[in-house]
Amino acid sequence: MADKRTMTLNLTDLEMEVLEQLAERKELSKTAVLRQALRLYQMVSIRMDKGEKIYFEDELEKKKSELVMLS
Amino acid sequence: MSQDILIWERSGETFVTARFHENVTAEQIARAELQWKPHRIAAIEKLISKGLMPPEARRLIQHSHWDWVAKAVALRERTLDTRCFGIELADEWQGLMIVELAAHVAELGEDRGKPLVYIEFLESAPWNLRDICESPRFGLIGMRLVEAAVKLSIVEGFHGRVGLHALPQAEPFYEKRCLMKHVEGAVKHGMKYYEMSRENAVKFLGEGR
Repeated sequence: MADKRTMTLNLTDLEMEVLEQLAERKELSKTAVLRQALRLYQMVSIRMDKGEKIYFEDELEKKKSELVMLS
Repeated sequence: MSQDILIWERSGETFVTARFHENVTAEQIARAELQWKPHRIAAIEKLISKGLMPPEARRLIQHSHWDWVAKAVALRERTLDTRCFGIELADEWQGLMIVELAAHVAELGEDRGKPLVYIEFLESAPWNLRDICESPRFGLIGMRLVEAAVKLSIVEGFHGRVGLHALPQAEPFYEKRCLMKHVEGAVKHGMKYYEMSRENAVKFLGEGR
C-alpha cells in the first residue's frame, strides 16, 4: 500500500454535515468519501480537459443536462 | 510494491512462487503486450488453418480484441481511480488486471449505490489459457487477481464488493469459483454483469484457494 500523509481539513458546519451524511449513506469513513471525491474530480477534470462532455440523464423524465465546470 | 504468491504449475502439478505487483506501470503493460501478442496471433492462425473464418477465430479468442497498451493510457495519466495489478514469473507476465475505483457502484441488495472495485480488464497470459493453448502452463492466475481486487475493496472501505462485465467464456469462472452473482439487465458490450457481495467476499477469501 502507498505511504499516506496526514493533513488538517477546515470545513464549514454544513460541509462537515454533508461529509458525515455521505459517509453514513455510503458506509465509508470520511477519509474514504474524500478520497472518492478526489478520484471523481480528477477523472472529470481530465476528461473535460480533453474536450469531452459530461451529461446527467433522467430516463424516466426524458431529461438530459450537461455538466458545466468552470476551469 | 510486490510480494510473493503461489500459482499452480500444471505440468509439474505443484505450486510455484510468482511475484505479485500492486502497481504495474504503463511500460510494464507494454512489455506484457509484446510477450502476449505473438501467442494470440499464432492461436488465431491455428484456428484459421482448421477452417475457421477470422471473425469466428477472433470470437473464440476474445482476448485478441484487448489492447493492453491502449488501456495503459489511464496509468500514464496517473489517475487516482485506476490501478493495475500483475503476476510475473520467470521474467514473463502471467496475468494482468486493471481496476477502477470511483465510477461504478454496487447493484446488489442493500449495498446498491455503494462504491465497489470494478474490474475493467483481467487477462491471463495466452499460454495459460485452455482456449488458446493445448497445454496451459500456469493456473490460479485469475483467482489470485480476483483475490487482490477483493482485498483492495476491503482496504478502500468497500467491504469486499467487486463488480465486472464478463466475457462469455469466463462467466462460469466468476459465477462458480469466485462466488459472483449475475445481475440482470446491466449488460455492457453484450457482456453480462457479475458482482461479489460483501458476504460472498468474506466467504471467497475465507475459502483460501
